[in-house]
Amino acid sequence: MTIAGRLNREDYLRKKIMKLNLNSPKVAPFIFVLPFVLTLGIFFVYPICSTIVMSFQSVHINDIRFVGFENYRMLINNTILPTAIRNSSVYTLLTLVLLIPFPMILATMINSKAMRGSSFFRSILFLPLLCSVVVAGLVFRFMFMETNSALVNSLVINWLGGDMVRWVSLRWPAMILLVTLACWRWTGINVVYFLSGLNSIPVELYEACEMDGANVWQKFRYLTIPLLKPTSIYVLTISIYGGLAMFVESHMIWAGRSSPSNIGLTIVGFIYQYGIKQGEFGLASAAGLALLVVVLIIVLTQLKLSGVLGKEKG
Amino acid sequence: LKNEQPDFDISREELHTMNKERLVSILFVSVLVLTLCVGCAQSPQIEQVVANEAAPIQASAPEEPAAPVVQGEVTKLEMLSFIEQHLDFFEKMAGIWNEQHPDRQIELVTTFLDWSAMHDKLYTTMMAGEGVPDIADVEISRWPQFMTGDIQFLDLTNYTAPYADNLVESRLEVYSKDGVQYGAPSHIGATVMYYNIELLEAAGIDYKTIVTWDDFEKALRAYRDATGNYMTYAETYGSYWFTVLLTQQGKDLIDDQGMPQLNTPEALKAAQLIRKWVDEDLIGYIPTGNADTPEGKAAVANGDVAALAYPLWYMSRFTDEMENLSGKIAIAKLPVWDENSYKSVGLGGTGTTVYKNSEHAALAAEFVTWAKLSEEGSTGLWTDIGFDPVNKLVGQNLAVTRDPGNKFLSYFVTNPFDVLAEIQDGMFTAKTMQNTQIINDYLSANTWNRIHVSLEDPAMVLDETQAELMSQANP
Repeated sequence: MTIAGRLNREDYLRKKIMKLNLNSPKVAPFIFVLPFVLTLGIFFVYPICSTIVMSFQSVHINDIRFVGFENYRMLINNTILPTAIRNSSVYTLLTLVLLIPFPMILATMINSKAMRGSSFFRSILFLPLLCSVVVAGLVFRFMFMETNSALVNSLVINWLGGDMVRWVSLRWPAMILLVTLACWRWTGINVVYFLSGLNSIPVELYEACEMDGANVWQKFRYLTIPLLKPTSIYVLTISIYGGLAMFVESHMIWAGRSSPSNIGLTIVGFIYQYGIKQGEFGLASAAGLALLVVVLIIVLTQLKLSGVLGKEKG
Repeated sequence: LKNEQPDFDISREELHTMNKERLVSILFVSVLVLTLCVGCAQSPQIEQVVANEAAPIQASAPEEPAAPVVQGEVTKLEMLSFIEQHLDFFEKMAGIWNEQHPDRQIELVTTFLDWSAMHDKLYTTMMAGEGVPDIADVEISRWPQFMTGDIQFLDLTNYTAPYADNLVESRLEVYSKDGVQYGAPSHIGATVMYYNIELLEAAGIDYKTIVTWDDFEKALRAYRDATGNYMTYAETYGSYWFTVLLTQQGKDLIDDQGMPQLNTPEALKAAQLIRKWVDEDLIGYIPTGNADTPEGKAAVANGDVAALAYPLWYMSRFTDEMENLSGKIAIAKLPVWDENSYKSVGLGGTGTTVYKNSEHAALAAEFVTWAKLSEEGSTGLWTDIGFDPVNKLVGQNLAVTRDPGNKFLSYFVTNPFDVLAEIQDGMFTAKTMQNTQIINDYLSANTWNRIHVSLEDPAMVLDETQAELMSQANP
C-alpha cells in the first residue's frame, strides 16, 4: 500500500470512529457492560462449552477422540464417586448447620450497643479470610498432627482425658478437621454479610418492640431473624455452592495425595484426581458437568422454596 | 448556602507526588509494552542470556531440536522440580559442565514447586503445548500419566548409550516404554531394612541373626515380650512392605501388559503375613500409616519403630531429620522367604526428562544424562543427596564408598555399599506402567485399611480390589 493510500485509510477509520459516538445513550451501556460480558464469555461460557465437548471425548496430549457417552458410563460405574458425593454432602450440611446460625448470633452481638470493642472483633473475625488457604491448610495440618504432642491432640489428651485422635486417618475426625477449618475461615465473612443485613433493619422497629415489652430473645426471634431472611438466603446459597465446591482444604491436608479410605475426597477432588492427576480430562469433564447440574438443581430448588425466584411477579 | 465547590488547590507537594506517580505508571506501561515486544520477537535461534537473570517459565516455540550451537554463547535451559536438593545438585553440575564445555555454556534457570503443583503444571503446559520447561523431574507415582497419548518426552536412549554399560539396567527400564527410554533415573532405590540397634539390643535381639521372615517374626515376638512395645508397624498408607513381600516371590503388582494382578496367590501370601502379625498383636500402627510423613518420621525418631523396610533413599530422612539416632541405625538386607527369594527391589524414584519440542532438546538431553548417569554425576547424587548410585562404577570407587567424611557413611553403623554389593545380584525389576499410579493410589486409600484396620478377610479384599482396579485400569 502506498503512503497516500495508507493515509486515506487511516483518515477513513478515524472518521468512522468519530462517528461512533461513545457518549450516545445507545452505545454507552454496551461499553459499560463489555468488560463483564467479555469476562463472562472468556472465563465462564467458553470453558463450560468446551467442558461439554470434552465430556464426550477421550482427551490426551495430541490425541483427542470422540467416545460418545463412554465417560458418562464410566462415571456412573465409578465406585469412589459415591464416597466423594457423600463426603461433599456431609461437609456441606455441617457447614450450613454451623456457618449460618453462629455468624448470625455473632453479628447480632457485635451490632449490639452493649458490645464493647465491636470493630476489634469485626476485624479479628474477618482476619482468617485474608490468610491464604494453602497456608491455613498447612497450619491446620500441623495443629492436627497425629502425635501426642501436636496442639489439638495435646488438648484432647490433657483436657478431655481422651486418647490421641488419628485426625487424618479416620472418617469422622477428618470431617471434624475439615469443618473446623471451614468455620475458622468463613465465620468472619458471614458475620460481615449479617452485619450489613442488620444495619438495614430500622432501629425504630426495635424501639417499638421494647415499648411492647419484648426481651432480647424475643427481639432476636421475632424481629432479627425474619428481617435477615434475604441475607440468610444469600449466605445459604453461597454456602451450598462453597461446600460442594470445597477442594483446596482437603488437597492441602493430604498433601495432594489420596486420603486413606478416601475420607478427604470431595467432588472437586474427584475431578482433580481424574483430570489432572491421571490425565483423564474427558471423565473429569463429565464429572464437572454433573456437579454443575446438581448444584444448579439444589440452588434453584432452594431459591424457589424460599420464594426468591418469581418474587417480582408475585 | 455554603459553596459546595470542591477545593481544587493543589499544593506543590501533591503536584510532586502526582508527577512521580505519573512517571511510575509511564515506566510500568513501557516495561509491559517492551516485555510484549520481546516476547513476540523471540527468535528460534539461541538466545543471548544475561547471566543470573531469573525468569519464570516461558513458552518455548516448538521447533525441531538441535538448534545450531554458536561458540561462546550461553544457552538458557529451564528446569522444573519438586525437590530442592535436585535443583541444587543440577545447578552445581551445570557449573562443572560449563568448565568442561567452554564452547557450549548453559545457564540453568530452575523453578521449584511442591509435588502436586509441579506435576499438575507440567502436565497442563504439555497439554497446552505452551510454556513447557526444557528439563523436568517426574516422580514415579505420577510417571504413568505422562506415558499416555502422544508422549512429550525426548527419547534419551542415544544420550544414555555412552554410560549404558555401567548402569543398573532395571532402573532404566522403569522410565522406558516400548523400549524407548524417556527418563534418567536418580537412584536404584534398593529396599533394605533399617534397624535401630540400640532398641533391639535392649530387647536382646541381634539383627544379624534375622535372615528369613520367620526369623523376623520371632524377633517381633521377642521384642514385644521384652519391651511391651511393637518392633514395627502395619503400613496402612503406602505399600513398601507389601511390595517387598510380593516381589521377593517374583511377582509384580502388574502383569506384562501393565494390568493389575492383585488376586494372585503371591499377593495373598504377602498380605496374609502382615495380617498375621496384626492378628497376633506383634506389630502396631504408625500415625498416618506411613513412615515418610511428618508424623511417621516423628515416630521413627522417637524410637516407636525399631525396624522398617524402606528404599535406600530413606537414609536422608535419618541424616537430615533424625540426628538423635546417629550411630544407632544399621542398614541391612531384607529378610527373605527362602533362599530362592529375590533379595530386594528398587522402589520409588524420580526420572528427569527432556521436553521433545524444546529448542535445545539435544543439549538438555546430553546435559541431563551426563549429570545423572555418568560416574561423576552418580557420585554427586550419592554424596549430595544419598541416592544409591545407578552407575556401578561408583560402588567400585573406594574413595567414595569408604569416604570417612561422607555424612551418610558416618551416620549409619553399616555401610550401605556393602549391603548393595550383597543384594545386587538378586534385585527384582518392578515395572512402572500405565496403571501403576491407579493401583498404588487404590491400595493406599482402600485395601490396606480394610485388611489391617477393619480386619476384613484378605482374600476377599484382594479379590474386590482386583475387580475394582480392572474396571478402572487402562488396557
